[in-house]
Amino acid sequence: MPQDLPLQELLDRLVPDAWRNDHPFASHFDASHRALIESSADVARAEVLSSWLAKEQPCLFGQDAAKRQRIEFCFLRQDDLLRGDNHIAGRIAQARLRWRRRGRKGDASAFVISVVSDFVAKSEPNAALFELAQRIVELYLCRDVPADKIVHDELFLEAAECRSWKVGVNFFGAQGEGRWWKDHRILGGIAFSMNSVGHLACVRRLAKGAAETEQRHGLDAALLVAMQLINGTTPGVSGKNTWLHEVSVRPEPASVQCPVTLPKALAGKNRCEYGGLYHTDQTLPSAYFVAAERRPEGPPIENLDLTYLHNDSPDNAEYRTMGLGVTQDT
Amino acid sequence: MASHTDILARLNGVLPPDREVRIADLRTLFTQDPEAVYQVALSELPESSPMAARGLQRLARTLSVLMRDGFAVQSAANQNYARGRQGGILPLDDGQPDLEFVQRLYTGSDYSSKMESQKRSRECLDFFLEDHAWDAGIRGTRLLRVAPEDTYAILAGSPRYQYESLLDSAREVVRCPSVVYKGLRHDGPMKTEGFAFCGIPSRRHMNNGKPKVPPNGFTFAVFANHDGYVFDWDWIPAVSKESPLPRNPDERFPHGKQVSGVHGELLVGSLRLREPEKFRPKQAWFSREGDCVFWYHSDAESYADRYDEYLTAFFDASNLDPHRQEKDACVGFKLKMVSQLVETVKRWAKPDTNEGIIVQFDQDRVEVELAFLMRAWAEAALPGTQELLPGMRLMEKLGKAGVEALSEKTPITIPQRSRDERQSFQSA
Repeated sequence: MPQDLPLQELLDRLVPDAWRNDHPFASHFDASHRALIESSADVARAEVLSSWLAKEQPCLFGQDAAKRQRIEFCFLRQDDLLRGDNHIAGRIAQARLRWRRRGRKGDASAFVISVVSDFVAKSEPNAALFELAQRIVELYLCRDVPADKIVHDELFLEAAECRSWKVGVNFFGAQGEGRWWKDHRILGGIAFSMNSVGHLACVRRLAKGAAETEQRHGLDAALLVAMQLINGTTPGVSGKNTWLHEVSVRPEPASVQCPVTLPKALAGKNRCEYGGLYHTDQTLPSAYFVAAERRPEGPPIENLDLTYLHNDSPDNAEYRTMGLGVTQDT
Repeated sequence: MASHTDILARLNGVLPPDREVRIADLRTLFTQDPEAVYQVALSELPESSPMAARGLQRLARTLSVLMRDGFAVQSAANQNYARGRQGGILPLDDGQPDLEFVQRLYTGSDYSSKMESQKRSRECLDFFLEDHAWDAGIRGTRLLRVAPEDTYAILAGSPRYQYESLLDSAREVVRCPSVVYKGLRHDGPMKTEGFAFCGIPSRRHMNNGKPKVPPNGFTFAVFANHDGYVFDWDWIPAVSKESPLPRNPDERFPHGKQVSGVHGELLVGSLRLREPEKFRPKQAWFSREGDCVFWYHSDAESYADRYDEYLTAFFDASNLDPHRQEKDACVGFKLKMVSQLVETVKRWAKPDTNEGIIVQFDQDRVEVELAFLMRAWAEAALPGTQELLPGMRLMEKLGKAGVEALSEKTPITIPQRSRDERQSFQSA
């Protein structure tokens, strides 16, 4: 983990986002952003951010987690950043442990690390902002996190059977507001969001008292939600960020037998892969850290994965590790 | 929860027979039996358990604390280690594979196939998520290392068994000491500071590379100064057979006290940079960190017997029969409180009167003609004050062969700058 520059110096290298002068935050975003910045305690910050996520977060799983208060927050103020790596790492580790302990009991599936700083929020998305974001996520995960790579954390659940899930780690930034990657915008500054759909599905199944054999049905439902979400994204300045493929154009692999029957609205859509302007699973997409409003020229990504929600096959570990959950007898 | 006998049985296959336990052994155990890693951390092993098993438990517990507190990778003594955000030291002796193992456990993000997925149990979740009574002890672990000057001395001609003992026995004992004393000397900075870690390690190292079982009636002591520099490690007489307690602790540590819950992790990366050189007899090695001089005229495996606050003599340990009649031969000595001794001699030294004393002592370089120094005490008609008495006793202790060997010119030299010296053996 490169730790050559102190956090304070990384902050000093941020520059104001000149583009933002002509493209201010939308009024509803700005109002919530101001409320978050002006909150004086973490409880209030959690209320503001949860409230916004519950309405404005494009990810329906995230919305649901926010509504049910199933998100553990770690708020980092600018003052915290100035206190250095150890302080930040310690705060994140404490919050992560709270999340994982709540996760063990089934009380939380999501974890959000939120840097609350108007200065950071209004900084240009560039290499300096990337370095700041990279430092924070590396302090969180205790490992190197290169650009455009997929990294995970892990969440546990203790019930009749103990399970664990890999949880994706994703960057969000206020800089996305008004830019092409708006689906990853967030109030306050920058943030990392971790949300386990598999954990959530399992907790719901347990709450209903359903048998373990029902576990996969929760994931089937999650697949439908995910497909609706992908299909329903509103276009940004560079068009839709995610879309479903038609099986007539991009057939599902013959080896995958998806058990889910699609509703009318999704009929004929590919249940295994979807397309996107960015890779939805990469932790720090380098494409975000460019000041341009529109997406840089380049082909879209056509093979984003959905099989982790339904394809239980020996060569698809993700179904177990991200969807169903790893158990004693896995 | 598995019983400790069950856990010890499961550890047996991974405990190395010829070296101290390392993260590599935890990695092996995790591959074979991941549940055993969690269980060894959470279980209580009796004090009578093999030191290697207790060492592995300590590493597993450190791992558990780091999984909850987070960690940073840092470097000292030419090796990486993971330091917990609230304390706790995990030496990454094997470098990248160790680091990847710790990182993989932290985020659980290395499932290359579902067949490799790790089992989950309540013990596993407790390992990763819950507080334990031993957490504070792990977080309080002291980082220990060997100063570059002393590293140079160890590699440049000290007895081979001392090198092997440091890499193995000393690391074992500081990790899981049976007893620790704080306050090593009768005066100076180590009067109330510095630690002596005592315990019986898994093996006794010999010059021929074939370890033996620990000698009966002896315990292994590792001495570290107030800054965490280990400067001495020896077998010393114990109060009784198989006891890890040193004999006469009140005399040995007159101002010290027994302390509990003190553990260390000794980093030895610098010592692994190259093979030690052939033994150099009659070479005096000055340890600034220990403020002492080591001198051996033989590399016969030895034990240390404290004579007084200034002198410890090393005796041939090839015959440790408790019923032996003959006195063991002295093969060397450790002269303590050297800076104070040098000051004393400087006060008495009168170069104009040609008494044969040559003493130069400054911050960066020590040049003392040891023979002259010692002979001054014994022969140069200086007053037999209490300050000089130790030198005379040393002469008695060494016997004729020792005095003759010492009479040859034996300068105490240390590198002018430790950094230069480190570079010299790094490049070697």
